[in-house]
Amino acid sequence: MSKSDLLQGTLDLLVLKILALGPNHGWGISIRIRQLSLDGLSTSQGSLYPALHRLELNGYLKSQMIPSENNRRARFYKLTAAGRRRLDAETASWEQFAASMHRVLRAT
Amino acid sequence: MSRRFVAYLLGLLRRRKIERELDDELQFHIAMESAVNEAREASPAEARRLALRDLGGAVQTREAVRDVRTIWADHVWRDLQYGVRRLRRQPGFAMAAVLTLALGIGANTAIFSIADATVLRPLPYDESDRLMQLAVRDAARDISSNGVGPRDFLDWRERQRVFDAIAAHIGRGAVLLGGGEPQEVQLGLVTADFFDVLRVRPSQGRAFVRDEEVRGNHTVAMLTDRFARTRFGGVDGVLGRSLQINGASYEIVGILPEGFEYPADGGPDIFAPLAFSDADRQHGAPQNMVYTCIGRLRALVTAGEAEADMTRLQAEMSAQQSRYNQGFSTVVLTPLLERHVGGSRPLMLLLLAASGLVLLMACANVSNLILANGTTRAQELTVRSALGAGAGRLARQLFVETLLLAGIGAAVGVTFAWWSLGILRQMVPAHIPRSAGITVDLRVLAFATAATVVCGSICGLLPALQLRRFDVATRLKDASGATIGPLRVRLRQAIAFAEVALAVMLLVGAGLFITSFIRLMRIDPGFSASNVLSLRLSLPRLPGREAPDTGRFTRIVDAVRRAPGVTGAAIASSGGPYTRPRLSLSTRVEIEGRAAESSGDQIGLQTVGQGFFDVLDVPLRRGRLFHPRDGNGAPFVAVVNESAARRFWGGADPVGSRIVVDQRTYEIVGVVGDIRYVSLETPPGPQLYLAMEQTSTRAGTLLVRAEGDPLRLLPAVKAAIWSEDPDQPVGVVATGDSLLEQATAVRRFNMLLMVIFGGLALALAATGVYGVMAFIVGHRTREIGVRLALGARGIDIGRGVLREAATVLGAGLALGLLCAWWLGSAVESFLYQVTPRDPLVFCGAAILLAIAGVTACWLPARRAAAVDPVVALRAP
Repeated sequence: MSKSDLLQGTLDLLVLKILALGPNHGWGISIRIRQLSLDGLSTSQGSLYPALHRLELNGYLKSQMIPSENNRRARFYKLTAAGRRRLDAETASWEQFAASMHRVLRAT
Repeated sequence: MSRRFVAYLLGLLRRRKIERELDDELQFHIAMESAVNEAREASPAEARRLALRDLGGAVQTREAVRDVRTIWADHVWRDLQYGVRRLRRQPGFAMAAVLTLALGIGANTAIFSIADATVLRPLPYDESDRLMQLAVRDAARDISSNGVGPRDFLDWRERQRVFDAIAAHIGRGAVLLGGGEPQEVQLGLVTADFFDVLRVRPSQGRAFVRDEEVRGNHTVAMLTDRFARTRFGGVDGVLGRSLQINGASYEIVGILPEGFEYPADGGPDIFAPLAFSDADRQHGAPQNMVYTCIGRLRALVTAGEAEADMTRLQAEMSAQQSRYNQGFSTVVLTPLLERHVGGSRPLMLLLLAASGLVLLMACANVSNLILANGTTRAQELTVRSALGAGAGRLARQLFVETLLLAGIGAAVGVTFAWWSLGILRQMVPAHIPRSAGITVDLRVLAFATAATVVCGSICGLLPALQLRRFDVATRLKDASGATIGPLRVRLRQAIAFAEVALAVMLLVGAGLFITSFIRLMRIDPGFSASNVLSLRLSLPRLPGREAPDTGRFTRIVDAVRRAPGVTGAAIASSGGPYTRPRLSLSTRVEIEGRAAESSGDQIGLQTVGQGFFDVLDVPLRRGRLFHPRDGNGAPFVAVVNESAARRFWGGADPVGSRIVVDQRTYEIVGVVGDIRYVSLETPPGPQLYLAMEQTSTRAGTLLVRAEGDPLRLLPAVKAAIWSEDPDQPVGVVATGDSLLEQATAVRRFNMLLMVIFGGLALALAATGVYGVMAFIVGHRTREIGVRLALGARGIDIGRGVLREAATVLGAGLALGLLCAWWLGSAVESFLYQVTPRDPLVFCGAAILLAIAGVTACWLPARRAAAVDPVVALRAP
């Protein structure tokens, strides 16, 4: 899988997962995705921010403008209870999907 | 969705803050990313460029985020702006569509404003849906009485448990003296709780109390605001003054709030307590079942429960006391609104349905226009579709555009309706209650808005459905638009077909109403009332004149006869001609010298004064009319009409024989022609005329025949009356012509509106058919050219087009006639002497529509026949 070619819907799942580890800002999220996937995944930043705003509008995230390290204002995102439920559901369905894919691809 | 919408609304308010925060957020990202890049690479500029590239360009990202945050309202706004631009580029299309919709919505708004004011709007009292009228019913004999006896009412009032309060009322004619001319007024006699039931509080003074329901204490009055202002020039200082009513002095104790009317417009202006006599309060005595009883349902009690409880109470009361009118043991509740306006509701619903059909046709036509327009804009839609606009987006665009069209149409239509209300208000027959209140108000505007939305949706529906089949690839290949899909043609033919069917139904309706009206106007009433002035006279019950004195009527008539310009005058004991007076009927008729028949034949009784038949030009067939010697003390004489002569004497000459009616024997002295006095539509039955001078009569109608315009005679007639008796009030004045006009007003109104709707429908159907055929011919030009080049004759091509149109027309006609046939019974009650399935009317409507339809196709057919094959084939 090429770096930019995230499957439809996986970005939301990744974002929710990262934020489940703790509140973060957009740039931090993209860095964490890169780090945790050992550079295997990278988000197209042009789609990261729309995804963040969409998730917030749907009530899965809450955000707050907070002064940051370098004297700039950054938007910090935080998972809501609804977001946590969503993450659980999405994770379960992803795992099932991955397992199914795995079984099919291993077939001889 | 709702959370997103709230966020969107908040977003609108804080748009600038959000934009700024978004900027900060993205700037932060770029700064962080450049810092990292800077650490790895060298130049800060290069680092920033990389960061920006990574972000996919700050502008694009911002756009993408904005897209997430905007929802349909934003898109709709953009579509709307786009729609306005498009309409401005196509003024012809816009004008046609707007005008069609304006006609449809305008007509519906006008009719709704009439229907709403007269029958739909609630009564103007607080929680008026809780107001009921109580009536009694004799289930065994299947007789209902709207009137309630005083004893019943008093018992109910004491013992009922289901109403907050109940009240009785009755209208009485009375004479008002002491303010210039003596005046006949309608007095509303009401029990003390009457205004409590309606929840109306006097604006000044007080309402009545129970003590005033006793004879002797009852000389107090409440006035409507309007009456107080006209009589006393204002409402201040009126309390405590007095009015001379029927020779007694009534003290004014209260003024009703401005605008109060009961039951509707034209209700009484003066209210006084309804005083019960001792006899009224006695059990077992005969009751006059004349009082109207109304009540306000207690909270949480339904009408059905109240009905059951009152019936139970009635039974309980019957068991405990000896009662008169025992049989009336069921209590029936009717909503007060229903009681007052229920009579005109069917007519209004019919008119609403008819105007609704017109609106539907207008929508169909606009739909057609949009479809035709759709082919010219296929290119545009193709491009937008190729650029990624989904069918949903395109459909929304179409709906926004049709709603825009409907909105503009509605604005024009409502203006038109508002402007035409002045005329409509005059057209509405006067006796339809509340017609004075017809206006365009918020309710009407709400209706117009709803109609607009419905219209816009209907108009956009078919074109939007077409989009579902919109296939970019075919479209792009087919850019020349030389051929059209069969589906598109089918759809448009279906629209034209439906329009023709609807138009036929409306035309049949119009035809039936026209026929009814013509039949009505062709009726020969048997008498002539033009040049006749009709004045209501009642003998006031003044002190010292309690006994009716018909001699006074005779003296008044003699004085009027002597007035200049008067050629004849007479009194009829009933109301004027065509006013549906209630004439008494007798079923106990015996011809002397013949065995009593028990056939149950009825004979109408009318008391008339000297000269009645001359004033109305009623022909004398045999014998003589009344003459002055037929007075008090002379043998009782009577005149019969031809129907009675036929019925009771079977063609033999009745003059000289004796008839016994209600135990009194009359000698028949003459036979006169049949007349339709009660109303134009009531066929004359056997009628016995009695001499007024030989009966006791308290009220009557003075009929005066004039040489010229009868209204010019009014001052002279009044002067003559008052020269004989200065206290004689002159009631309702009308001319014979105006009475005839009022009698035919409802049918004229029905006919006019149905003709307007029929005409509109015809025009809409013709335009619809024309549109479809012109469209088909226009798109077949090339095909026609090929056929012409191959040797077909122009006339054959033209015929082919006509044949195609005839199929649509014929099918529409057939369906329309079938529907009209099927719906016939719905209009039956509005018709006069024509069956709802009158073959002539059906043929007429079909022929009219066929002519209009063929005419509409004529132009496209000629155009098809005149196609030049060379031009057609060379066309791109």
